[in-house]
Parts: sequence; structure tokens; C-alpha cells
Amino acid sequence: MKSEKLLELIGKMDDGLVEEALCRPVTQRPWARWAVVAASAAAVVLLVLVAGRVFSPASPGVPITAVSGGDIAGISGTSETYQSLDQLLSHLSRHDNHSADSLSEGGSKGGLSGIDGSGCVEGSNAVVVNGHICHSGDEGIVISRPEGDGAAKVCTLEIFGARLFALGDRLAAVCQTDISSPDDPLDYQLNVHIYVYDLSRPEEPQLVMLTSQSGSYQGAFLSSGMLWILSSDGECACGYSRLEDKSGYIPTVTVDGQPVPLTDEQLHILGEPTMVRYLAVCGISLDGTVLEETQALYGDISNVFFGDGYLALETSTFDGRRVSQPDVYLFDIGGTISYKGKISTAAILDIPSAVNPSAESAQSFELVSFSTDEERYRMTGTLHTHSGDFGSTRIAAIEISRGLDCCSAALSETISGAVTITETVDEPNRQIICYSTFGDDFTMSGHFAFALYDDNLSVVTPAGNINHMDGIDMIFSYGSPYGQFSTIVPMGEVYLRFEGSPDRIQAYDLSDPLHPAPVGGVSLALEDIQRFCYLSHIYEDGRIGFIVLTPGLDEEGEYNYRQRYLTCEYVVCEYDPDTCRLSPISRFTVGGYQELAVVECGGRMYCVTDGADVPVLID
Amino acid sequence: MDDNSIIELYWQRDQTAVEHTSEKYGSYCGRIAMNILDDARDAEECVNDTWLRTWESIPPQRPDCLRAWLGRITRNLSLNRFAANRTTKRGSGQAVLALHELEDCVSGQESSDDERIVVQAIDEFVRKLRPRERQLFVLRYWQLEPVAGIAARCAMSVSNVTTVLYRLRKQLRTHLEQKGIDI
Repeated sequence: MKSEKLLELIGKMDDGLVEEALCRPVTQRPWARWAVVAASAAAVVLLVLVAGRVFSPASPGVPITAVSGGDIAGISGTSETYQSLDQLLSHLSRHDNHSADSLSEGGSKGGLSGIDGSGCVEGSNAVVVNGHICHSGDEGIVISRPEGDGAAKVCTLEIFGARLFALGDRLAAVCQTDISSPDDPLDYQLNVHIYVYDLSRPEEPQLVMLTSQSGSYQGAFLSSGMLWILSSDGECACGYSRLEDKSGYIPTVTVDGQPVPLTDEQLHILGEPTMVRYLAVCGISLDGTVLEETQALYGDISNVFFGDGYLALETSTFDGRRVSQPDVYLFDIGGTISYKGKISTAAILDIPSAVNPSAESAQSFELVSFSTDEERYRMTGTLHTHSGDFGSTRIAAIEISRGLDCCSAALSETISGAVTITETVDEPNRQIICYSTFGDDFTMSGHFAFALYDDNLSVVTPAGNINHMDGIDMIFSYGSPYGQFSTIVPMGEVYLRFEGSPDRIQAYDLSDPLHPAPVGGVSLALEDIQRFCYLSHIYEDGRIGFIVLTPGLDEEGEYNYRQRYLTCEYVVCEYDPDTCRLSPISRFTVGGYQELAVVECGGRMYCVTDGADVPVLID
Repeated sequence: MDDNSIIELYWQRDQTAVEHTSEKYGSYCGRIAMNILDDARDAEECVNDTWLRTWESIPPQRPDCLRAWLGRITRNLSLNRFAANRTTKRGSGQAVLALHELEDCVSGQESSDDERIVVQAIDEFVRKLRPRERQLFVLRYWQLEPVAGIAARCAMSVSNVTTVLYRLRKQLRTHLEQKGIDI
């Protein structure tokens, strides 16, 4: 049969099937099935243990008290102890815990973990607006139009270090600035500025809105036409250094130079913070150019996860001796922010709510990823039991229904050594988990695990684990030549793991989670020289773009990897699944690899780097 | 206007039936045609031909699902136009990519199976799929939506959509083989 015939016959499918598929409502999981699953868990465990090392859900049918739903936006829904910022300040003025500062400044976790769960756009240094390429570089924001075999600069905006977002004819540039006090240059206030331009006429960009919010930039994302910006700051509230004016603890927000005061209803306390540190969340409608929403969330926030329609804040408290297990405060975000509920990992995993991590047999959970599919929220992390030098770890997968009324957890087999989850790849019914272990022999090795989201949540660590980091000293991550994590890319059933040099690219067949299998080495077929290459762009038709850095010869005739000797190329490759071969089909020399981005404009591909004035046509 | 009322206008030979059909489903059919042909003029012609075919077919037909019925006509007309364009080296569109993908499911040789049996097998295959998988299959290979558009519509990443579609093609091939169909 020819494919044309098959395509024609697919068109003769039953109309009812087609109609049902095209207007498919979201199908809710029948949660009553969980009771049946729990009853037959023993039989399930016995069956799957024959095939591989699998563990049944750690606690099927977790009590609903582990997840508390809330439909009230406001202070009363997010903290049982504090009803206002005043109460928090009053308490901390007498009980401030300075030893917690290390956590807030990125001690054990810190910083932002943005997860592009679904349909959520994070900023880039290059976007396309109204047929023009806008990229942020050393000169500011350069606006170029495609012309001939290249691009021509149209104009430049003197805004530096910005992350860019595009929506219709609007360009939004988000950047961090600091404003020094005229009396003391060391006394400065960090702010995040958001410039919104109308590029209906790209040669004359019109600034239509300028907002600012205090704090250090934590992240921004575009979701359903709303640009959400997160910033964080804090001031000590102890009796020694507490500010006299409460306003010093509240983020300042301005729109076009005019202050936008926050009311008490816009301030929310999460749990029982040990310090005064806020996460300011502002939502700007790029269509209407309106600041739609502003909230300040106070808590010991260690990680922020966001996706299309949700914001999840992980909190963890350190009182100088014990660390609390993570709680996750979940918010729905659309045009506004509404509090949805708190997820207690301690209750779900049935472990103590706080622990001295150094105590023998202490169990501590580290949350690594938070994502969603249409049926559930997913959380993945490691449950570590302290023992000896490295202890032991189990990988944990948790699923919570979208209504926050039911949850379940599954644990992997016990893994010896220090375990670090390096990457997770979300798929509709499973999650691929890459992790590395560091053991007593002081070598690092990499493995796969799978969280399987079918009728019975389980975590699989395949029998005969593939060690996919055999003796490799350096590996590279997506978009950066310097990192310690691998990147896997699904190509049909075969997943490619990209590492440092061309002959280290490994292909794996992961169709059967119990038996992942290497399917052969993959080479870029470049000359035999130690190159650094990393993944840059995946095309819709399956081609893959790499950045390849080739060392040049220095004055002494030796290959040298310093920047001035490096040649940077953008190499487009074709992947042949039958031969597992990655073949270069085109190569372009680009100016540099810092802040490199690939954008599509007018059906052509352009590459922007810090080393080029205008985008370079590459395809 | 609801579909039953529109169909009734056809049965009464009221020419406003075409106006109402065009108003309600013009964009939908136009989208299918553009997905296949990637040419606005060709697509418009196919959509207009769809209204003509519909006027000629109802009565005696009385479709249960008007949208799918109209989409199928547009799809067939567009694929015919696509095939004609290919012989003259014109046109692009999603049909080229979809055909390339569907080569995973077939051998590329001529076969003599009864078309009705093959369609029954396809229906059976699609009916067994999970709702989300069914939606992806129909959007890609019936409506010929681009992968990026499907990803945005279903709130999935492009790579996830690509992976699921790849698996579905493999499963379809296996299913057709099990049904004894000469692929």
C-alpha cells in the first residue's frame, strides 16, 4: 500500500469518531478506581517484580488531609499562623533566625526552577515580531529585517541584558537594573524593568508601557497573552535592624513612573516564614498593555515552578538545626492569581515533617521537578536516607489530581550512593528521569529511571541499568557548553543523549521502560578532532541544530580552547533512525556561542550571537 | 444556527443553507484546505467546491455529524488538488509531511485490499486509542494540522506530539498487519 492510499482511507473514517476526537472534552480519571488498585497492589507487585525492579505505590489512597484545597484568595488561605504582614513582622522582630539567610540566598536549594510544563513561553534573547528579528546583545536590542541572503538592521533600542517576549505586534523586554542611592553607591535597590513596545512600524518602535517592580529578577513567562514577572527581595526584621516603615518590606511597583501601592489583600503569607522575603508576582496583559495583577508572597520559598496556568512555590524552612520537608503552594494563574491549595510532601510520603539531615537514618525529600498533564500534577524528587558517607536514595514520583482531592506516590528501589536527578522529560503517560550517582569509589555514573503514569503509578529503575556515562569527564547541557548534565531528545522511539564530543553521542531505545537498550553509537561524522558540541535547536521536521566549537592552533602549534582560538559553527544534522546515524547536512560559521539563539522568520532560519551585528541566515 | 436546522434548509432546497454553512464552517474547511494545499487560491476553490458538493448531496443524504462530513469533502477535494499539483511540481503544505510520516505504516507497494476492510480496520484502531491519542491522530492525519499547531492546541510540547505520533504509526502498522491487510 502506498502512503497516499492510506492517507486517503484515513479520510473515510467514521464521522462520529472524527467528531468526537475534534471536540474532545477533558476526560477525568475515575478516582474511585484507586480503591480497586490498592486492593490488588500485592498481585501487581508480584507480577512486575518478575520483569524488573518495580515498586508499587508507596502509599496508595493517601489521606486527603495531605492535600488541602482552597478556593479563597488571600491571607487566610495560605497560613494558619499569620493573618497579615504586621503579624509576621511582629513575630520575627522577636524571633528572627539569621541562620536561615543561607537558605534564602541559595544555600541548599535556592533560586528559580522554571519548568516549561505546557504551553508556557519563557523569555529568549531573540524573538520575531511583525516579521522582524529582535535580539538582545551588546548593542542593546537590535531590530533587523530579513533582506536578501541576510538581514539588515532597522533600529536599536538602548536596553541591555533583556529577556524578550513577543505577542502580536508587541515586544516586551524584561531586564534587571539597580538604582543606587545618591548618598551611598553601595546602597542600591534592585529592580526589574519591563518595557513594552509596539512594533506595528518596526522602524519606529513606540514605547507603550514601562513598569518596574522591586527585587532581583527570578523569572518571567508568557502564558495566554499575560506576561508574568517574578522578583524577590527581603529585609531583616529582627529587633536590631528592623525597618521603621512597614512599606520597606512591601515590593514597590510602578507603571509609567506612577507608583501602584499594594493593599493588604495583595500580601500573602505562606506557612510560617522564618524571614521576611517576598516573591513579587506581576501580570501584564500585553494585548491591553495593562498591569492586571500584582501579588506579594512571603515565605521561605526555595523553588518556583511555573507552567501554563499555574504557579507552584516550594517552601522549606531551616531553623538552624532542622530542615522541613518541602511544601508546595499551588496557584492558578489566568488573568488573576488564585490560591488553590497546599501540598505537603511529608504527609504524602509519610515521613517526619522536619528532620536533622545529618542524623542517622534521617529521611529528607528533595523536590526536583513539578509539572502537569491534563489529569494530574506531577512531582518528582529524591527521598534520601542518611547513613554513612553517602546514604541511600529512592526516586519518588507523586501525582495529585487537578482538583487536589486525591494523590498517590511511588518509590523506586533503593539506590546506593549520592543521587542527583539531572533531567526529567515529561511524556503523556510517563516521565523519563535521568540521574547520576556518586558512590564509594568516587566515580560518577548516569542512569535512567521511569515514572509510569498508568492505572498504577510506579517508578521503574530498569534491571541491568545502562551506565550512560562510562568514563566521561565532561558532558554538556542544552544551550551551554559548560555544564554537568546530559540532555536527551526523543526522536521517535530512540532518545539521543548528547555529550561533549561527537563520538560520545549515544542513542537509546526507551520504548520498553523495563529494558532500555543502546541502539548503537551515533557520530556527527566530523573530522577526528576533539570538539565541543551542544544541542541548539530541534526542527519540526526532525533535523537537529548543534553548536560546534572547534579549537584552533595557538602560537605554539597546540590546539587551544580559549575563546580567541575557537571557531564556532552552527551545524544542522539529519537523524536516520534506521542506521542511527546523525549526518551533517549544512554548516555555518557564526561569530560566537554566547547567547546564541536560532529563530525562524518568514520561513527561513536565522542565527543570532553576541559576535554578530545582525542575524545570520543559516537555512 | 444548529446543524439540524441547516440540514433541514438543504432538504427544503433553501439556498440560505449554503450561506449558513459557509458562515459556520467556512473557517474550519478553509483551514483543512490550507493545511493540505498551502495556497490560498487553491484552498478557496476547494472550499467553494465543498459547498457545491454539499448542495448536490443533501438530500438525499442527512449527515449525522455535519462538521466531520463537510471536513471530509474538503479534505478529499484538497487531496485531489494536491495530487494534481504534485504532478506539476507545485504546492507544499502539511500533506507532504504527513505522507512522509505515514510511510512508516506501509510498504510503498501497490495492494489490492478491499477499501472497506481497510477503513474498518482503521476505525477499529482509532476507536481503541486513548482519547488524547485519538485526538492527536485525527488532528494530524485526518485534519492534517501542523505538529506545532497540535502541540499548542493540546498544551503539549512539539517533541511530545512527535513522539506520540511516531508510536501511533507503529501501532497502526502492527494493527493492519494483524488484520491481514496487505500493507
